[in-house]
Amino acid sequence: MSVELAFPSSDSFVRSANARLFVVDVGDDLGACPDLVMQSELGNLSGDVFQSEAVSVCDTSVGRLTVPDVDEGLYAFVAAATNEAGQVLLTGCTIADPYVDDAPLRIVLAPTERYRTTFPVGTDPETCSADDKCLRGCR
Amino acid sequence: MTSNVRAVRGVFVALSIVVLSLVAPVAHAQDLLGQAEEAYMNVDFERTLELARQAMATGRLSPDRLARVYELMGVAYAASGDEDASREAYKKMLALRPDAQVDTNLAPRLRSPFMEARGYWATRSDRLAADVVLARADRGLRVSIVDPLGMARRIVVRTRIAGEMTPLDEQTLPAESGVLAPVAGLPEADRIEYVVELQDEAGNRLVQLGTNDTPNVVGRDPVVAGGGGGGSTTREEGGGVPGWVWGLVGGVVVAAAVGTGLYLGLRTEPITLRSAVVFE
Repeated sequence: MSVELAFPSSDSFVRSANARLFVVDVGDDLGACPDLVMQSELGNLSGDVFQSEAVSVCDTSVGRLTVPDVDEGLYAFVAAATNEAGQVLLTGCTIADPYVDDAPLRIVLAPTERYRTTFPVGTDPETCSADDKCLRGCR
Repeated sequence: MTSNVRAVRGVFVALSIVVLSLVAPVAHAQDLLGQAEEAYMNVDFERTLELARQAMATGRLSPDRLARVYELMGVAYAASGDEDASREAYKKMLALRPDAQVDTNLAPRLRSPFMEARGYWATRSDRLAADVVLARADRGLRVSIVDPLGMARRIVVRTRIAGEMTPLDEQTLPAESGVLAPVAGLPEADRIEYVVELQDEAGNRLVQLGTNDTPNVVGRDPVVAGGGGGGSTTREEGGGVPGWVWGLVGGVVVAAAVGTGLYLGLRTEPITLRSAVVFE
């Protein structure tokens, strides 16, 4: 089963260096995401079920970020994309039971305050695409 | 005063004679075995054989020592060129000690009968053994034996009711499987202490279950006042736990096994999430 990190744009992907994924047991709390996103943005979230190392977003795009052996149950899946400095640029969260909900499990990433200040509206678009970044190493 | 001293001295002498009469034959057998070992070390196989036979004739050897005697005889016979006798001796040694090995430094000619003897046992599933169950309804202990080589001549059974401070009651039975050794006090007695010896022609022990100092015990746990029921049974023919109890236990075990199988069979494979990237 795949977990899709939905970047808001190709530019946001190119501007990100790494991604991390956290799995948190939320019980029946379907409204846990905002708080978890806030924690991930502040960099103090820990996944009590699982948390990955920082993985290159290019590796993420080819399935190299995995969450092994997820048990049945409702979890919050939180993703954070960071720049080279480890600053969180994008975060997203979804609550799902991978045994019940339809695949793929999608986490929609949204720009953080850091992203908006680093790349305010009107910033020139990136000159390389996602493919360029991952195949040829631009940026 | 003088008569008292004489009396005490007399008792002491009598006790000494009793103790010596019990210990001396065993010491003699061990001494003969020691001499046979010495002759073997001196590569005097003729004397080794002679002393081994004498040690065996004492009829006081334990299963381990008897196995060693057979081993010495196996080597000595092989050295004298009597391979058949050597192989038979090794077969008996292996009957007593199935995992026994011979000196790896032996010449191939002396080892060959041992290898043949081992081959003999490798083709058999039965082993020299004795087993005891309490036959409460028949008021005794039933002794089963397995004796592929026909080494046993008699079964010596010593018994007493567990907990009683009395000497063990000894009886000698023919070396036949399934013989019953009657035990006074049965069927009422809960537990019986026993020693069983399977003995060869000379009286050496081939198999020993329990010792006079630490006899084996068979029977059921005593009924506790107010506890109701007869307690558990062990190694007891008939009676004991009713068949329906075992049926119930079996049913539970089978149900558990089926349940586990269904759980394992129907359980969803653990999911591994693998990342992908899309652009909104």
